[in-house]
Amino acid sequence: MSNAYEIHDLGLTDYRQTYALQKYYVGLVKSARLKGALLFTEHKPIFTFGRSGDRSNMLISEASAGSFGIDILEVDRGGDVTFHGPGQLVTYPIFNLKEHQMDLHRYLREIEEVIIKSLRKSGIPSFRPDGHTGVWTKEGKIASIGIAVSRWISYHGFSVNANVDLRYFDMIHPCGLKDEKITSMCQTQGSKVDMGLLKQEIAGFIQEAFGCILSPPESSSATLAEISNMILNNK
Amino acid sequence: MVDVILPELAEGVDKAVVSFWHYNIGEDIAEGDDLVEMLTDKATFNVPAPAAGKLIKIHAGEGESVQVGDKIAIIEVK
Repeated sequence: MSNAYEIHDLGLTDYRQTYALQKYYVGLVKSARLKGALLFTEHKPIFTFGRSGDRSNMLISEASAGSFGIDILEVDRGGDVTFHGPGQLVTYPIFNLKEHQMDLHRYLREIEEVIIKSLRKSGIPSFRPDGHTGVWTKEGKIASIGIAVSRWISYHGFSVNANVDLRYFDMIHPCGLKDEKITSMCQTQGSKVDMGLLKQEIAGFIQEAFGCILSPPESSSATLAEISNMILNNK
Repeated sequence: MVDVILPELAEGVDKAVVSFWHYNIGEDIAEGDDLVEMLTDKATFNVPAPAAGKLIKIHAGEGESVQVGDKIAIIEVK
């Protein structure tokens, strides 16, 4: 088994395709063919509902969402509704939590710390209010977390609002929170975020927090798009 | 017979809610397969089957809260 954790920068992806890819990597880690993986992506516009999802937290009709080019999907992570779209960095750590204390809440807190440290590098002070999951600045919520675990292998992950168009969040009660203000790094710092740099910061702090080495795969017989298409077509 | 117990999910977490059962009573299951999905905070946790066999009893239905350490199901080992 390779000792390294694979890191992949998928670019702009369809949510369903990347979900299939996550499950593929969960399978590799479960069968001990891989230590772990970290996927970076930005999604095409989509509202996803977690297991606590309440449809009344979507404030527009499905038809309206469709007319705006927004997909809708119920998914198997924790939490309520959220938005993913271009300009938002989504990170999926596929990690074996048996190697990281087997504690879901500790894992959530470690992810929050990774986000807070990464934002600090950009000069953005942020925090996690007691009793909440996610990361806030004084202007509003800037990052969301929703995870799933199977045989102690994590999937799903977290999203950081970098350059995302915040008007999409007006169409939902994000995470089911009615008066929640949502912000982005771009809005907070007043300039566009360098996504490459943000990924570097996050990858660095993840390595530090989880004691892993992230590296691109040495070779691949199929592209990631081919793998996820193959999985989706076999359903 | 093997009891399926809700394991400790996190420090300070003493219960979780049954999201859904991946298997029905009477169905065969392999050891390690996801048996039931539990919800806690912003996480879903799939409890793996501790042994291969037939699921013969479910103690907690969907939406019910379960304490860590509670029996949640019984598997009849073949």
